[in-house]
This record gives sequence, structure tokens and C-alpha cells, in this order.
Amino acid sequence: MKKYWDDVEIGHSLVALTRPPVSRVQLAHFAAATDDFSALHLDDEFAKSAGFGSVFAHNLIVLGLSQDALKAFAYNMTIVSHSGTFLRLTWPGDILSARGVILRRYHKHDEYRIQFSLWVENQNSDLIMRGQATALLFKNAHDQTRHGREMPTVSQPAHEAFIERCERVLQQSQSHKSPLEKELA
Amino acid sequence: MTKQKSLIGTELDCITKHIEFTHLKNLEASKSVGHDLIKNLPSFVYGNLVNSEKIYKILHLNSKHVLLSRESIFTHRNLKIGESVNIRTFLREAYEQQASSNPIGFIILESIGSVDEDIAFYCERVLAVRGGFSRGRS
Repeated sequence: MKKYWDDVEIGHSLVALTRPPVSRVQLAHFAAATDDFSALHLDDEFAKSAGFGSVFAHNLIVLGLSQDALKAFAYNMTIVSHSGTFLRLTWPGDILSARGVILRRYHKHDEYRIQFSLWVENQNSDLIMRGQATALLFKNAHDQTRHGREMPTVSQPAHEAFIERCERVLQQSQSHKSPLEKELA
Repeated sequence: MTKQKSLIGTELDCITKHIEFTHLKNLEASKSVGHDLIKNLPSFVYGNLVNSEKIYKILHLNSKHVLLSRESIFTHRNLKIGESVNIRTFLREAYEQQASSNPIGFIILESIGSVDEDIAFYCERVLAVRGGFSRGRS
């Protein structure tokens, strides 16, 4: 569904997105898609030797479901941040449902932002993941026409702040030396 | 000081990944739905582009004991088929906490992905090491 910032309010919910039960074939496809071939997700014997009952799903499958729920809320939304804390494992056969609600709606740097609280539950209503996301929408159809794009993009000030934050990480790391490097210096 | 703590602040890995059609095809199949094939790599998988195997080795972690505890992605640019993304990963923090019976180790990784030297994403990943750093050793 296409949405504009003017159409959404704090407290609006995402339509719950539920997928068929998690399958081992799904785990194999996900491993191939993300190059994450950890045997914990693919090999029952290995998973058992590590103290688990069987293989279990990559936690990113759960994060992916919540991202799909966001996309179903508004396909013309640009997601700029998305996070999830994983509280329980997901097993083959589990049925996951992603839900969410709008927590904040604000205008900053000529961007129209909305912030979501997200969570994913299994068939027993156990909380599997809780997270947050921030996304951009056009204010209205006129705003979209003014920008002449399908999707809103990040403003220059917000992008500069992001780059600055990333460069700080790079610089801090470059300036930090491990004890061995210090010893050799 | 544990091996993990001695590496705080250092770069653990630098890798270049090519975004291929098969990545997206498998991702689509993994969701068990029939909608049109996605055009861009969804941002929730960016953190998995790092070389986890190498990082676990450097940090002396046994993959049997490592679970993804938290993932945060910040992105201003989509990764498309045919693009090559350079990802640098740093160890920001390593600490242990006592759980009810066993300690749990926590590793915080920061990854920055760039396409043609243009920063595309920042990912913070928290790994939980069951049994702490000594038991979770490789």
C-alpha cells in the first residue's frame, strides 16, 4: 500500500504478517542467500552436540519478517534504520507473526520520519524479537511531485551526520592499537 | 586480560562481496512466498555479508557457542545486483556477565560497508557467547 506521512498517526499498527511454518528447506535457502552456513542451522547432529534439540532458524529470518511487515505497511517507505533484539530461538515448524506500531512521527532536516516499535511472536505468543525501525515517507502527493521520485531519500544534513558517525568509527579504530601493536611500536 | 578484550578497537576483517542474483533468488525462496523477485538486497541481511568464520577464529570463538543477540542496521543506500561492497569490521566491546548459572560473553562488532568508497551502511551486531569466553573458545 502507498502511504504519505500526512496519512499516518502515532498508534497506527502494522497489519500482522504471518508466514507458513519455518522449514528446514527455508533455512538452507537462507544460508545460501546470506553465506551463513553455520551448522547450527543445517545439521541436526551438530546442533545437538552444541546442546540444542535440533537445528534452529537464523535470527535474521526473524528480522527479515519484521522488515517485510514494514514494507507491507507502505511500499513507498524508505527504511533508514532497523534493529532487533532476539529473545528466543525459532525452531523448524514454528509459525512467526510480525507486528508493530508507530511510536513517533516527526519532521527533521526536510525529512518526514516515522519510528516504529516492532515485535515478532511465535504460535504460542512467545516474544521472539523486539525491535525498532525508522523510515521516511513523503509528506503528501504534492511533496512527492516536488521531489520527482518514487521513494523519499535521506536529506544532505542527515547523510552528513551518518557519514561523520561512520568515519568516527573508522578513525577511532585506526588510532587504537592492540597491546601487541603498542609493544612493537 | 582475555584474547577478546585485548582486541577491542581493532579491525578484525576487511572483505569485498559481490552482490549476485543467486543471493536474491535464494532469499526469495527462503521466505516461502511467491511475490516478484526483489531487486535490491534487503538491508536486514547486510550484517551477514561479513566473514563470520574468520572473525570467530580471530576472536577464538567456537561457533557452537555463538548466538546472534542483537542486530542494528543504518543505511542510506540500497545494495544492488552487480555491485561490489567493501565491508570493514571492528571489535567495539567484549565483556562477560554472570547469568543464573553460567557466564555469558558479549561481543559487539561494528561493520561499515562502502560501494566505490561511498559509505552505504553501518551495522552493529551483538553476539552472545554461551558459557563465556573461556568455555566458548575454539
